[in-house]
Amino acid sequence: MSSGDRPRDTAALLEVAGLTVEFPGVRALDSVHFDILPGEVHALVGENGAGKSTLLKVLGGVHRPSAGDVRLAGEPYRPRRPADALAAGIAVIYQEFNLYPDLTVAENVFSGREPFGRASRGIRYAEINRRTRELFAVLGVAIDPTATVGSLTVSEQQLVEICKALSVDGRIIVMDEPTAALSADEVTRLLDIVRRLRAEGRSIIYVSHRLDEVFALADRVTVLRDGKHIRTCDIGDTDPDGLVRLMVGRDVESVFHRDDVSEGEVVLELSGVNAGRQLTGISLTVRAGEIVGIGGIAGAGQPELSQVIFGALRVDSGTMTLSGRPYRPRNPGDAMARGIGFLHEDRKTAGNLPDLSIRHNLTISVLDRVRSGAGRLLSPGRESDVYATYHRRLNIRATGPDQLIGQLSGGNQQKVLLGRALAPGGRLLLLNEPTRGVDIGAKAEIHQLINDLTADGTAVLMVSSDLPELLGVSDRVYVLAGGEIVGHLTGADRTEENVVACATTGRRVFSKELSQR
Amino acid sequence: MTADTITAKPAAAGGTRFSLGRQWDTWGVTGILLILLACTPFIAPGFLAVDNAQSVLRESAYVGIVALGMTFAIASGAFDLSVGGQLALTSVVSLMAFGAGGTGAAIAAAVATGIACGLVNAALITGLRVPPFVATLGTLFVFRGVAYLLTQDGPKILPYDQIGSPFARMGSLNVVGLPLPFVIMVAVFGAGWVLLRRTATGRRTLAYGSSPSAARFCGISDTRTRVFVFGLVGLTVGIAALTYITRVWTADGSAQDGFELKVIAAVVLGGTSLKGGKATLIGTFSAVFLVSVLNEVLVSRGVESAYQRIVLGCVLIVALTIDGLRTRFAAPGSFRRSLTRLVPTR
Amino acid sequence: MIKAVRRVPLLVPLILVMVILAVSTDTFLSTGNLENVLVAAAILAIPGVAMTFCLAMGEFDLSVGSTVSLAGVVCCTALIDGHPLPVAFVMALGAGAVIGLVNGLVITKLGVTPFIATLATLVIVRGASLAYTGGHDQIVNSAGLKYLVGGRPLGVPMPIVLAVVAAGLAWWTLNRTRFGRWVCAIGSNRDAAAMSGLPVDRIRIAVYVLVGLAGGVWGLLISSQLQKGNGQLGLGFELDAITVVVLGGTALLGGRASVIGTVLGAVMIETIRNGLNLLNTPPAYQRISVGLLLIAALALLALRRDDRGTQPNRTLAKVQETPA
Repeated sequence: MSSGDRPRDTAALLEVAGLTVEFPGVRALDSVHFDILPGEVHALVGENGAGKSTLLKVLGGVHRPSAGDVRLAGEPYRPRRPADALAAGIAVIYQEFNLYPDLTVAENVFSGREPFGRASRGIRYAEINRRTRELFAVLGVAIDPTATVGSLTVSEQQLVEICKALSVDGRIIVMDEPTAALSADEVTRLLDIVRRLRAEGRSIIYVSHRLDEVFALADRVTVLRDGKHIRTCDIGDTDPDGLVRLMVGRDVESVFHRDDVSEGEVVLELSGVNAGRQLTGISLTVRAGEIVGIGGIAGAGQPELSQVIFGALRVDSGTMTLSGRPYRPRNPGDAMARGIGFLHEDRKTAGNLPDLSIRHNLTISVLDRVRSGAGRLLSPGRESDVYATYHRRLNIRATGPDQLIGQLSGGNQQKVLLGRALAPGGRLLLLNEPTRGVDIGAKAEIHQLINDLTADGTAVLMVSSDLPELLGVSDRVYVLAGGEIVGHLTGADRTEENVVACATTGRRVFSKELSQR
Repeated sequence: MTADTITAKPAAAGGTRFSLGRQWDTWGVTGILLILLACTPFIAPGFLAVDNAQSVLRESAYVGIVALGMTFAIASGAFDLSVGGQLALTSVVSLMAFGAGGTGAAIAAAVATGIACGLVNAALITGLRVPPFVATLGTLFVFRGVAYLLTQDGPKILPYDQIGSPFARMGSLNVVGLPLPFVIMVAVFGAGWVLLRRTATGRRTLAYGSSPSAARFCGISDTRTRVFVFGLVGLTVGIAALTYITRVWTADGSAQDGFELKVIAAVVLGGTSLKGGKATLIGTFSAVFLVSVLNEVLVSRGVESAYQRIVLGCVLIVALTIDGLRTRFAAPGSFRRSLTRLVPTR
Repeated sequence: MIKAVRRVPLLVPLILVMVILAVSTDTFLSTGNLENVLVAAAILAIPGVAMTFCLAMGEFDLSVGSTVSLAGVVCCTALIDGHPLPVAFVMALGAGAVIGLVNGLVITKLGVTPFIATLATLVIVRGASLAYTGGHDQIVNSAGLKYLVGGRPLGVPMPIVLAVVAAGLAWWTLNRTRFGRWVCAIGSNRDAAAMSGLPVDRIRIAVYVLVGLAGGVWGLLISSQLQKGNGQLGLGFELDAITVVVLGGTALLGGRASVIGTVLGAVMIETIRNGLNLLNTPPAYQRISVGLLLIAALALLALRRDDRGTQPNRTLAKVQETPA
């Protein structure tokens, strides 16, 4: 369905003009214009920090604009709070769901708008359960309205959010990265549901990083960059490369070129490792100087695999060896003592120590090595040496060692954490999503860094959901699905098609291990 | 995603204002204390007389010593509400030990009981994985209850014939004009400073308080941190109990009712954030004296003790409000939350 | 039956304790004694069900013990000053409500952590009630006040009537009305509640006022029992009120609540107190017992949480929380 046959003069349902949103010290949106027609899917794309979320929050009544005009069906639209947006028929489904895990599905759907008896003040449960069931029927799914939301899967919870949007008869449904946590099947189902909503005449604003979804779904697309409107066009008038160029503002070399490295000793070997319900029968090897990638769809067990190796998750059975010796860490401390570094995929909640300076964020993993003197006290001098080393080596841009880590940009925060992971000795690095949420420039720097590290003999195990990164940076790729290794790709087999096929279909690809490269 | 943009960008602008804020965190309460002291000659004449000043230092010491331990606890993101119960129990046990085995036994018993109480708390918190303040609310009553149990026949009292003994005089002794309890408090703070700023354990405590989940991936053990923090609180209670019983010479289950509030008030007033991750020992030190000087001034103006409680409670609320405002508007991470909060939820 | 036990896990230990007491003492099962236990439990259940709302919201109110004292003092001094009984009652309940309102405003408008804010009001209110009485007992002799605990409409002791009404209303409100579901919604996911446009601050304030009012009723009941009010009433009562709720199985961090559990928790505490009395144990044991019960209840919660560990993760957070 292309928008070419749509009459161009259809009156816009929602019009945004000259929208500016300022926070102290930041201009998140700068005179942005945007519109949506009845019954269209309008994709909104842009890099992290481009202002997509801010725009959504203005529409959802969370942020108030500093300047600009928003019109809904020709009338001025100025939501003062989220409930106003709902009342006006604009339902925003945020990335972090606004659900109550302890309440039932129906209670969640009708939260704040429950019909109740006049005398008894009691909520009419029969009515909300029936209506919820009807709404799910529209979506073509069956979810028990009396189940507690906490017992649902992530994709079911998302359907509850969509159901909530339908329950207010939302004319405009806004979805922020709806597929971020979904499996391939679930994504397909979601795309169907979005098409179904469009067929009903609803308008959808669809925010996504995944351009394949955008091209599969959208009628028009708007690109934002650095809080500014860059371009709006029909989807037929552009292509993925063109969109990427618009998003980043310059041509990018999408594939990183890895230096050839000589193959070293086996550093890490797993055989038949089982851990809880997340991992079954994992066997793999990582050699010195090698970057091994771990791919797969979200929830296939990739972070768990790295956590098992780091001692943060318990191994139920199977063996691990590190440089030929049996290795069974009881906690991350054990792993660090053996020279293993770890980078968590969630920098904000499980990476940064927000109240500590950059220097202290760096040295926290090697406190034993910055002690000196008779009392074995921490030596500020040695800490500064550690900082100076990594500051230079990782090219961290900061005003000084005492700056708080939260004040750095995402890329520099990531470099500090990379330094922390490196400091225990750099025998083996476990990197989860090393470039998530960092800008393009820092991304290239980090890739170069990882590349350089292996030249010194460091072994790297890298989990990445970014396919070009996974394939461009690593020498070999293991693909996980449902906690099992379903693919091992080397050499020419390292293609996006193979990774996706292994991860999402029953196909299995195991390349022969190359002895010579 | 949004948070990224917002936290990342004000970095340049934040530089100078931030360090000013940090100076205030460390020295603000000390400044207020000095101003208050400078004013005392006018509002409470005779306050600065040597024996009065000595008595203030002596009376504040045991609160101050425990406040050092509590600063570590709050910096690690936890509370210990049971310190009042610990103090009562430790004092009772220590007096019993003195009766049985003299000075050495009393000191050993106080320290051992304090640490044991702390370990009980740590075991409950790590074993049951419950919020520390609920667990310590329970143990507050258990420790006090045990102290009551031990003093069913009446409060434990230092024997009359021992009143002249060195142990009994510890609390009232002066060292070059300074009361011994105050000297001990200064020593404890000195050791505390080294512990916090110059040892791995101290650094790990701060890291744990700053972000427990990130700390876990830095190889910091949850259990060890809890055991250290609550054990340290227990140890400081043990030391404080010694300075307390050697001055009042008696203890029972009701000793120092509401002690936990005085201690927490001093720490919070001093500028240690309830969010964890930050600690200021100088602030705690000054806040202890700020509270007791304020109390002393009120007493000298003839204000009843009932009103002193009210003042203490109000001071605590003011301190917390300031803490709340500061974290709301200064900490980079909470910026977005503050924006959400500013939207009226009516 | 099994379902009932699963929903109110306290049932089994409660029956166990009762059986032990019935066997080991002659007097436990006497009508008079059972009535004593139930009256005491009823008095504790009234603030307990109010506190259930507070914990369901994921918050705590530590100031309720002092509210008991102030309400008792206000009521008794009003009676001594010659005010009619209804006026005295209204004044006492008003004092409770005002304390709740202050708590609510400090917590919502100044952004102070609830448990520390109420710890501060605990001290302030205790100071106020000591200051109000100058530290003296306010002794009254009022048949009307006495009726509150001693009265027997239709042969049922008055506190039991009050507690049944309170528990019934609380159950209906918490499980079936918008207000109650909103309280649980806030406890379940506060940010979501604010985003969905629930009047979060007003609900929180209302809950603190409710707890304050219940503290006022508790104060009236206590001073009715003792026929006096003073600044020492209700010392440590906050622990009782919180313990009954936690014993009853209400989640510590909010979201789920059980009014019936709270009522059983009150019966449990008073049964144990009564048993310790009948067994002639020293009063100090009673002090320890509540603290130990709270810890036991926490252990129970921890066990149930481990049970649930096999179910899908109930939090929507993205961070992988992995027990070492």
